[in-house]
Parts: sequence; C-alpha cells; structure tokens
Amino acid sequence: MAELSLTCRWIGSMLVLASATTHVVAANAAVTPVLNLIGRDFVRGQLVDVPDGKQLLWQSPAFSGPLGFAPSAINSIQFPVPPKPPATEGELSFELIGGDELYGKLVSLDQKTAVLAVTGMGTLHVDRTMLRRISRWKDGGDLVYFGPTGLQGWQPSGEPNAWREEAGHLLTSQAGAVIRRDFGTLPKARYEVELTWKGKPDFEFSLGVGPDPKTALKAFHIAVWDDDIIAARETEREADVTSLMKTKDADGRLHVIVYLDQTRGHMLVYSPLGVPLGEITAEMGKAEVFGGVQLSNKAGDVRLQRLHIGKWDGNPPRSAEGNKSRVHLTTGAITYGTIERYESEQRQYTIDDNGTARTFTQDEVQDVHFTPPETLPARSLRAIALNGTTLSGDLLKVEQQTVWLKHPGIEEPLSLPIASLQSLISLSPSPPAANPSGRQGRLEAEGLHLVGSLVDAKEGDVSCLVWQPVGALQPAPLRRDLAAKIIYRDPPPPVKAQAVNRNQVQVRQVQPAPGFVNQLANLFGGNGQAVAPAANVGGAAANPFVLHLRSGDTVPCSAANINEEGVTYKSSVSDATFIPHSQLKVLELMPRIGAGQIAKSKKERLLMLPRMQRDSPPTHLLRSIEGDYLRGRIVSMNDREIAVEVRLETRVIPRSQVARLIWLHADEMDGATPALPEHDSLTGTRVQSLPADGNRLTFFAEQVDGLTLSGKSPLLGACRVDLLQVDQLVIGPAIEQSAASLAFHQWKLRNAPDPLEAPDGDGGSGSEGLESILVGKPAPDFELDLLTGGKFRLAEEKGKIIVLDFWASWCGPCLQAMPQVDRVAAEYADRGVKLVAVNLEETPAKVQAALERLKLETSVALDRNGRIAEKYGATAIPQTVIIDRDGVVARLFVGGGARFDDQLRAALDSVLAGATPKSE
Amino acid sequence: MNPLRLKGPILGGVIAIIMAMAGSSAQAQLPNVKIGEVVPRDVREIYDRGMQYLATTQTEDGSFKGGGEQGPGVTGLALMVFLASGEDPNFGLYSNHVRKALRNIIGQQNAGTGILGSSMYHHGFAMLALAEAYGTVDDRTLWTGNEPNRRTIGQALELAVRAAITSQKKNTYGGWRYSPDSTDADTSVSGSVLVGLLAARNAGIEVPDEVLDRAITYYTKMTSDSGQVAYAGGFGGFDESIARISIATLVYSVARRKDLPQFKATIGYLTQRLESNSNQSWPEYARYYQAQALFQGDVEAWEKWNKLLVRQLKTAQAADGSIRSSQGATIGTAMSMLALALNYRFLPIYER
Repeated sequence: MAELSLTCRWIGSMLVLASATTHVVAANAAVTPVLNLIGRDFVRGQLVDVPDGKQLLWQSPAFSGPLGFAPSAINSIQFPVPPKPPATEGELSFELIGGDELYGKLVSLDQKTAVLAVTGMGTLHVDRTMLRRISRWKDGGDLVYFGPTGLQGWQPSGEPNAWREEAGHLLTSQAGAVIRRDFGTLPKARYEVELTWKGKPDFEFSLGVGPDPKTALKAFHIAVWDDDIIAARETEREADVTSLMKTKDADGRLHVIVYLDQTRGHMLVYSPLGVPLGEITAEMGKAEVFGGVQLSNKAGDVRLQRLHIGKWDGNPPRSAEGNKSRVHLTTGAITYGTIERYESEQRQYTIDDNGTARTFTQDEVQDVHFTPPETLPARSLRAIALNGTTLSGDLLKVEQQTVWLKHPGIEEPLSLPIASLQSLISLSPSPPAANPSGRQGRLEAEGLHLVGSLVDAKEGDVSCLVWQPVGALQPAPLRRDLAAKIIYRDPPPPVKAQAVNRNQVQVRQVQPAPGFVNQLANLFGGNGQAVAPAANVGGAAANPFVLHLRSGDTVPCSAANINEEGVTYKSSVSDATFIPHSQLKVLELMPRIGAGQIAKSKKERLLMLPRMQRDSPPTHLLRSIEGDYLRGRIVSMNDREIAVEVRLETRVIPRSQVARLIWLHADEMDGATPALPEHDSLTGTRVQSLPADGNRLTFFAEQVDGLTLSGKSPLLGACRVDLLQVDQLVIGPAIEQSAASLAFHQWKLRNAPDPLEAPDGDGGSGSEGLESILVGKPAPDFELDLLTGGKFRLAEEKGKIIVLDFWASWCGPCLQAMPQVDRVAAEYADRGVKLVAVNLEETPAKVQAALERLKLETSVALDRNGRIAEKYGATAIPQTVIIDRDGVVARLFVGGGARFDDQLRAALDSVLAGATPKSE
Repeated sequence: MNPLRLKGPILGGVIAIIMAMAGSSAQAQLPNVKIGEVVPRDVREIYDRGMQYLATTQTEDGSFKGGGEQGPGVTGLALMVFLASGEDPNFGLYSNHVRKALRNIIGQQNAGTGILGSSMYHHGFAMLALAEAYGTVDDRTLWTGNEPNRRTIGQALELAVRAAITSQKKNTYGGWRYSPDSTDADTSVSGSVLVGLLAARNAGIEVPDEVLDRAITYYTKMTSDSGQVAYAGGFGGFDESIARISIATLVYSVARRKDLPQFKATIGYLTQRLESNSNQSWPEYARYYQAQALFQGDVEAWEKWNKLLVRQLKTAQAADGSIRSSQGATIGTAMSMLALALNYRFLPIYER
C-alpha cells in the first residue's frame, strides 16, 4: 500500500464558523413597524387597540399575545414610510412650543385662544400660550425640498447597505459612508438641517456640491473638527472657517438654518430661533453654482433627520431678539410688540407696539413670533405624521387603528390614524428598572431583541415560555414555532488557533485499497502503545465519554456499547440508556483529545464519497488517538473492541486506540437538510439549554417556576434545568440552526462530482472551448517536475503555443483523450505547438505504467499536490487548455470525447491565426 | 438427476445456531462458520416476506399480478423463489403455488416450436425454472384435470432446449436475441437462454457441447480485456453494466470455463467493484446475476457483497414484502429474493 506523506496546510479552529446571526435586521425592515425600547432593544410588530392610556399594546409575530409597554418605557415606534409621502398642504404653518407643527388656516386669535383649521384634522382650539410661531407656508410653495423621506432619490456610495432609512431619516454607522443628492441649480437658498448622532460624531455635511465628486472639496461644509462643529470653505483662492458650537454642547443634535449665496461665496448659519451662529466667506476665482447636498460619515454614526430647502431672496435675516414677540414682514422689517388678535375676515393681525395698535394683513406678514412661556407642559408622546404634522400629548387610547392623544394646550382630543403616521416618540423616556424576579437574559429572534426574563408559567394552550421585557407592563408567551434564543451569558470570543509550522506537521494519509484493512492493526495501535482511558478527573470520573447528538445535545456517559440499532450507555445525567444511530453525531471516547485540527484538504478527502461507493456509503469515521482516520461502518463496540466493516470486510480494532467515532448520515449529504425528528407523543415548546459546561440538552418545556425550567426529553426523559447555570436557551427551529454550526456537525459526506459525459455519437460537448472564465486571461504561471527529469516552467515557454492536458491514470475518459491530444499536438509540433500532460497527484511509477499501457511518450509534468490543477480550475478531468504565444489562455476544454481531436485541431488553427478572445 | 431435497429439519438447526451466537460476541464477523451452515435472521425475514408477497399475488392461472411484465419467464422467476426456499415443493406450504406456476409456464409453451412466451428472455428464464423444478417437483401431482398441454416437466424442458438450440443455429453470432428467428444477438438475452441451457444439462437433458462452446465463444468475443462486456452486435461499445459482466462471469463458471482469461477479467472487474451494485439502470436485474456470478466466481467476495445486499434489501423492501422495480413488483421481488437465495443454496444452479 502506498502511504503518502503530505505536508498539509492546517486551518484554524472551526470555531471561526460564524454562529447564527443574532442581531437581526429584517430585510423587510422598511415595511414592518418597529418598536424601539430605550437602549438597543427593539421588536417588530403592530400597534393594537388599548382602551386606556396606561400602556401601548404591541403585537409581535413572535408572541402569541401582545406585549404592553408604558409610553415612558419606549423610545419610539417607527412606521413604514411610503415612497411618495403625502404633500404638506396649508396656507400657514403653526409651530407650537415643544416642537409641534401644524399646517392649515388661522381662523381667529385672541388673548386666550387660537382657532386653527388644521389640514386633515379639522378645527382645533389651541391655548395661545402654546403658540411659538406662525409662518407663511403657501402649501410649501417656496419649498424646493422637504424631507428626507427615505433613501429614494439619494445616491449612497461606499459599502452596500451602509445607509439605512428609518421613519424617513437617513442613517449610517459605517465609517466612510457617503450619500448625496442633487436639487438643481440654487444660487441662493435657505437650508434647515437637523442632524443627530448617538456616539462620538465625525461627519461632514456639504452644500453646493456638483455632480463631479471633486467639487465637494470646494463646497460649503458644516463639519465636526475635534471638539467643535464648524462651518468652513476652502477654494483655490481663499479659505474661511468658523466654529458654530462645541460638540459637547450640541448634545447629539445639530439643528441649524443655513443661508447660502454661492455667487458671493457666502454662508450664514443661524439657530432655529434666529440666533446667528457664524458666517464664512470664501470666493472662487470663477463662481460655480451647484445644487447638491452631501453627507459623509467619517466615523461614528450620523442621522439626517431634517432637510428643508427653500428659495431665498438673498436678504440676510435681521437679527432678532430671540424670544420677543414680533412680526417679520415680507419686506424683512421686524415689528416688536404683543400680538393682540387676528381677524379672519380682514385677514389682519393687530399688534400692540408699545401702546400703539398696528395692523398687518396676512399677505404682508412673513411670520409671527410669540413669546414662549417659561415652562413646557409635560406630555408623554409625540406623533409625527407622514405629511410633517407633528403633535404631542398623552395617550388616551388606541382604537380601530387610530391613536388618540390629549395635548394639554388643545381643547379637542387629537385623532391620528396609524396609517398616516411615520413615528410615535416617547417624550419622557425613563430607563426601566430590572424585572423583580427571574434571571435577566436577552431574547433574540428575527425582528426582535429584548432584554428581559421568563415569568412563571405552565405549558397549556400557549407556550410556558412567557417573556417579560424589562420595562414591559405586560409579558407575552412566545409562539411555539418561533426560532429564537435567550442568551444569559455571551460565549467567550473564539480563540485564535495557533499557527502551526507547516514543515513540522506530517499528516499520514490512508489510501484505501483492497486488502488494506490488514494494515489497520498497525495504524490503530500496532506500535503497542495503548493509551489508558481518559483520566478520571473531577466530574468526568463517572462519565468519561461524551455523546453528541444530532440535535446538538451532549450526554456525558460511560460504558458505551454499540450494536446494529444504536448506542447503549450509562449516564449520571440521564435516565435513558439507549440512543438510536439515526440521532447520533459523535461519540468521544477520549474527550480530552478535543475537537482537534485537521488539514482542510484531508478533511475534504475523508468526506468525499467516491462514485463506486455510492451504493454502500460509509456510516462512520473513526479517529485514532494518533489522529488517523478510518472510514467504514461500525458493526459493534464493547469495552474492548470495535468491529468495523471497511469496504465490506469486517475487522476488529482495540477500542483503546480510538479517540472518537463520528456518524455520517446519508440524509445530510451534499448539503441536504435532514428532516426534523418527529415526536408524536410530545408537543409543546422545544428548547435546548446550553449550560456553562457545554453539555447541551434538548427537551420539550413544560413549566417555568422561578429559576427552574422543567420538561421532557424524547430521548432522555424528565429534565430540569437551573436557569442560573444556563448560558443560552435555544428555542424551536433555532435548535437545528444552532446545531448545524457546531464543529462536529460540519462532518458530512458529500458525493464526488460526476464526470461530464459526452453524448453518444458525436462526442464532446461540441464546445469551442470558450466558455471558461479563464479564457482571455493570462495563464497562471507554474513550475513542475517532469516525469523524465528536469522541470517545466510555463514562463519560459512564451512564443510557443502550449497545450496542457490535465489527466490521471484512474480517469477513463482521460486515457481515451490522451492519444488524441498527443496525435494532434504532434501534427502541429512544427508550428510551435507543445504538449505537456499534467498528471494529478500520482506517483511517477503509476504515471510511467499508464504511459506504457497507452504506448505514449508524451511529456508529463507532475502536479503532485494538485495546486496547478486548482489554479486552472480543473475540477473535472480531462481538461485541456491551450495557451497562446503571449501566455494567455486561448481555449479550455473539459471532457474529451470521441471527436475531441477534430475540436482540438479547429481550436489550434484559430489560435495559430491569432484568435485569442480578450478578457472582459 | 437431482434427488428431492427436504430441508425442514436443517432450518431448525439454523435457528439454534443463531440463538447460540447471539450475545456470545460483539463481533458480527463469523470467520469460522462455513458457508451454508447459517442463514442470518435478516435474510430469512426478508426472504419470507418476499415469498409471502409473491404467494399472495399469485392468481388462479398461476401467473403473478404484481404489475409490470407478465409471461412464463416472470412466472419462472417467481417459481424459483419458492423452489429456492427449502420448503418441500410437493407437500410444503407453497406446493400449490409451485404447481400452479409450473402449469402456467408449460401452458404457455408453443407445442410446435417449443418456445416459451413472447420473447427469448421469457424462454430462457422459463427454461431455467423448468430445469430447476425437473426432478424436484413430482409430475404425478402436477396436473389435476383435462388441461391442454399436459406435458411433464421433463417433456416441456426437453422441448424448450430443442427450441433454444434451433434458435441458436439461425444466429450469426452463436447467441440469442428477443426473437427466436433473429440473426442478431445480445449478451443479455443470450444470458437468460444460455443459463437455462446449462441448468438443463446439469439436470440431465442432453445439450450438445458445440452449442455451449459456440455460446461461450460469443461471450469471450464480447468481453474486453478490462472485463467489461458489450451488449449487442460485434465487438466494442463497452460500458459498465454490472449485469452483463455478471452474466459472462456466471456462464463461464457454470460452463466450467474458469480457465478463460475472459473469466479472470470479468470476475476481477466485479470483485474490484463490490460496492457498486445498485447504481445501475435495473439494479434488481444486476443484483440477480451479480449474486450468482460472485458466488460461483469468488465466494469470499460474495460473502462480503452479500452483507451489502442484505442491508439494501432491508431498506428497499416495502411493508407488503415486495421490492418495487421499474419492471414491476413481481420481477423486482423475484429477482431480489433469488439474489438473496444464494444464502440458502437449495437450487441446483446455485451449487458450486
């Protein structure tokens, strides 16, 4: 038997295989409402009816009932924003104290009350102390842009999906993410910009950006520079910069009004109340006017919450005394004084200007400012409608998909259909106290991430797993078919595998061949060094072995025996003593040896099922204590011996030489997903506990009582789990998803690929050899030993046409094709065509024997480790590659065939004529 | 001429041996047990269930209604399942089934030409079944009334042998094809006829040496150096048909021509590929011949292969005991049971 010594590349621990995604951001995020709690928790779902204002009821598809949250427990609820939100209609806009904004007509105004005809809401009686400002709106007539309303129309760049939208806002936490949009030519414009952030901000917001990215360099910027938020511009001639405010004073929010005159290179920045924050001037040699806006995130996160762009006449706003009652006229003039009244018939305001009554018609007035009161009345929620209407108040009820709020300064209760809302925001969020009982963990599933705890419950019509998110007034049972995890303690980060010096690692490969079983005795312990069973350390004394089930469960056990049906064992942790083969994955006889490392190529070989064995696939892999593997079918095992059938011969191996048995199941081959085990007698919520000791246990949960979760396992009987000892609780289909990522569960057989068969008669695929992606690309260079001695270097063959024929002596179609290729190459030899047959991973003796059988004297290069075949994508042989005089792959054929010689001649003729396709 | 074989008592002994074996050792390998002494429990269970299925699907006219192909060849294959079971064919549990099947076969024989059924496939398998029944089943209880074609088994077999020889004489290649008058030949049809002839000769019917020599020569011409066996026509067109390679191995063996290099090539090919026995277009047909070829050609290889066969049939057998196949459940079940029947070795053709 040939025993190959191969130096193999070792790969890192299989722990690097990523565990199932935990923090799920659903792909349909834009269409499902989401409730964001304080912190990073969220749950997708729907707002459902509630008769009073004590709590909001939220129905998530993950729960069989609604969760209840006090308004102060949530951060916001975001509803999907349609691609084209409704227009904001109204003659005037009304800003109330605290940021509310309404649109409509002013009906009347006196010392006590303002009567508003509000678009979409009817008449509202507003306490006039609530009024902050009345402005001309003209249905947004001077408006260029009112948004943002989602990503549509914006051009993000950088990594895909770096930008997201939420309630119409644009947000990113990707460093280097850039988004831009063009708004046409705007020499003079007014921008109202609101940017928010959560971490340390580092962004640049640019105005006057052109389509060419380079223009952003000379644009007007509002940006973060260390501790300052600045306004700046730098042209080839001038540069100007000024600080607008300290970053820390901004407190996560920048809300400014910018007046930009690009013709003069002039930018003015004001607070929303009209307080000047700074101005800069930097002209260009030749003024260019661009209407683009760009936001780039250098680090941290940023959210564009508001961008309103309007036309501007170029008159700088008069500096106003912030909070004084006054009227701004369209002329730019300001009149201070108490606003006495408004009469709708005359469309006229009356102002008390130091004792003098002055009147202005609505058309003369740009906006009216009221003196705000010192204190704001407390309200719990703010609703933002899709049309921009913003209203706050306390929750009255939710009824028939309408939210009812009571604003302390508005007489009428406010009705807001949910369909018209883009968000509902808590105005008084208060961090909740931890739940009084239960162990606190984190529930993760698609569309939710909720810190909380399980409350006492029994399995009944609904699951006994009832989740109480922290801060929730009402818990809800999980749906039984939900795939979820409760994480009590996060796993430690994966340990990086130590780099192994390749030259020191020798992997012995067992080459199965008839009669090789006789060698097994040597392989599995012929050196006579029997290894004692695992030392009895601590708890391992009673259970020296570990059974790994396909569910991911692990059962420490002892006295394991194997027969035709399965494994019989004893375990101090389980009442059951038998598990059938169909449920098993691994039996570790020496757990101390650990998961171990194995070269990727070796593992692939071990798991590749040759076509000849398809009718009789091996059912087990045995790993010796030395790290050798044997593929076969375990017939039986007792405490001394393992009987294993290898290629239909049964042999007996001392058990002391075997560290581990791995089950290979036909139903998991080639990426198939095995059917879930059916447990007719048991129903309920399937859970799997992952305790700190790593011994997984799957069972049907029946009751949560304090810190004890109890239930029944179809395999192991009654189970009780102390939640304090559990790192994770995996629920429902997530058990299989989670098990599939375990290292041992990666050991699955796969079928060797079938050869491409030429159709009868004409032979070959009729292909011209142009389909491969390698065609038109430079041929990968290589150097290989030649069978007859010396080396072949592709790089030295420039100027010749090289035919590479990848083959092996075990490949029938290759042996059929080789004489044809040899003959054709000989015909073309005088035209500079040279054939090199690249043999795949065979010994020189085998290659020589094959050549003698074929009576060929072809020049053979030895690709002993298959690297060159890999470079040329030779996953199926025969593969014939024609490389032109410039070293470019001109043709690539796979499969040979009866008429292959003609195909090859035609291909060589066209390559000789210089017809090498160009790479795209 | 073969004596009557009554194996009832031996079966009892087999059970005793198995009982003694159970629990004695974890080793499934029974290295010291001689062939023929023990029939594993799995084999008996599969076989009994398969035989039950055939028994329950046999109709009054002796044919089998399992679906698919019908005719004397199919009846013959099913008949051999009863004959190979070890049950007494004259007085045992299935003696009526045996007689009904034989009457069905003989009843379909053309009195003029001696041909059994509509193609030489049927003729070959039916002739084999008659040869296996000849000397085992008592002719005196075969016919009950005034049925037509009341030939004895021996008369019917002799007539069938003459017909096969006549057909071969017309054949250019020395083999057989679907039609008795064909000049073309193929190694699949020829296998059924030639095995039938060899069995007939073993049963004592005269078959001239030149007939068998000519047929064997045809097979040697159709066998490549690698051991692959071509299908029809002249030389060439090799592919991996385990069925045809097995047929060639079997006819070389039963004709006592293991000296031929072609035999060494075909048995070598089979023993190198013990694990590929169902990756074939008609796996039941392939296994039927593979079992006999390995048993006759390399009994140690057969022992290994037989384990795989038992495993495969265990999963393939339906609840009603049948083995479904693309040619119907009767053929699938009969051929599968006959592949398994090598474990019993009660049929003369299974003697080594």
